[in-house]
Amino acid sequence: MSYEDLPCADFVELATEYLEGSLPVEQRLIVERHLAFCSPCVDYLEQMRAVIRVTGSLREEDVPEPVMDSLIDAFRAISGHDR
Amino acid sequence: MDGTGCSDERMIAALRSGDETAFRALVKRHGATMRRVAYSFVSDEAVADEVVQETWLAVIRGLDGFEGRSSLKTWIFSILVRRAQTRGARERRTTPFSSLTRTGDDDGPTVDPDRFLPADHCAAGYWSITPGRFFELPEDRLLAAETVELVEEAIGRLPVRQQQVIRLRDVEGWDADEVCQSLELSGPNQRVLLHRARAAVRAELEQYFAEVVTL
Repeated sequence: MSYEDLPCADFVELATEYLEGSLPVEQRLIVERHLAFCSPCVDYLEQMRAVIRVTGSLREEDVPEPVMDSLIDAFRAISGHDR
Repeated sequence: MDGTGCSDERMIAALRSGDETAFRALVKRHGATMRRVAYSFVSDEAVADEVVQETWLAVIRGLDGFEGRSSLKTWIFSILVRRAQTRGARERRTTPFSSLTRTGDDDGPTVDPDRFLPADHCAAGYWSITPGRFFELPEDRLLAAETVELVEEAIGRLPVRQQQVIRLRDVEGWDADEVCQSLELSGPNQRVLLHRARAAVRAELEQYFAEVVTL
C-alpha cells in the first residue's frame, strides 16, 4: 500500500467521510497514508475544516415578536384547556 | 449541541406544567431553523410560516403523548418535515418551477476536474492546481461579515436536501443521527449530501479568497 493507491481526485471525494470517521478501517489507512505524503491534500482537508468553521459562524435570525406572542397565546390556551 | 437526555426531560416536564418561559426558550432555540427547513420544502415564506405554526400547535397538543423515544428536537423536526413535505407536494402542482425540483446534482466530481492532471499524464489524478491556503488567514478575516454573507448565499443556491443537511449539521451543530432522524435520511445519504454541500461552499470560498487576498 502506498501513496499512489489513492489519486488526489479520489481523496477529495472521501474527505467528508474521513472527517466524519465513517470510513472502513482499510480505506481510512489508505487515506492516512496518502495524507502523510501529499501536502496539497492536507491543505484541501484544512480548507474543508475552514468551511465548517465559517458555516458554523452563520446565525439564524430571531423569531419575530408577533409570531412569538401568538405562539405563547396558543400555548397558554392549549395547556390551560384541552390538552 | 443541546436538547438531549436530562435537559429534554426537564424541558418536557416544564412544558407539560404549562411553563411559558420554557416554551418561549424552545421556540427561540428552534424557531428560525424550523422556518428555514419548512421554506426549503415549500418555497413560499407565508406557507413556511403556516407550517411552523401548525407544527408548534401539534407539538403543544402532542406533549402528553410524547414518549421520548427520540429527542425532543428530532420529534419536533419530524413533525415539521412531514407537514412541510405534504404542503410542498401540494404547492408544487401549482408552481412547477419551484426550487424543490432542484434535487439533482448528486453525482459527478465535487472538485473541478481541471484542477487535476489529465488521464494521459504519468501522475494522472494528482493536483495540477493545488488548493489555496485561505485557512491560514487570521480567524477574524476568515469569519468576516463578507465571508459569512458569501457562504450564506452559496448555501442558498444548493439543492434543497443539501441545504437542509448543511444547515442542521454545520450551522446548528446537530450530529449526524439527529439529522438522519429528522429528515428521514440514511447515514450514507446524509454524508453524501453533507459532502456535496461543503464541497460547493469550499469551491466558492477558495475562489473568493483567491480573488481578494494575496496570501
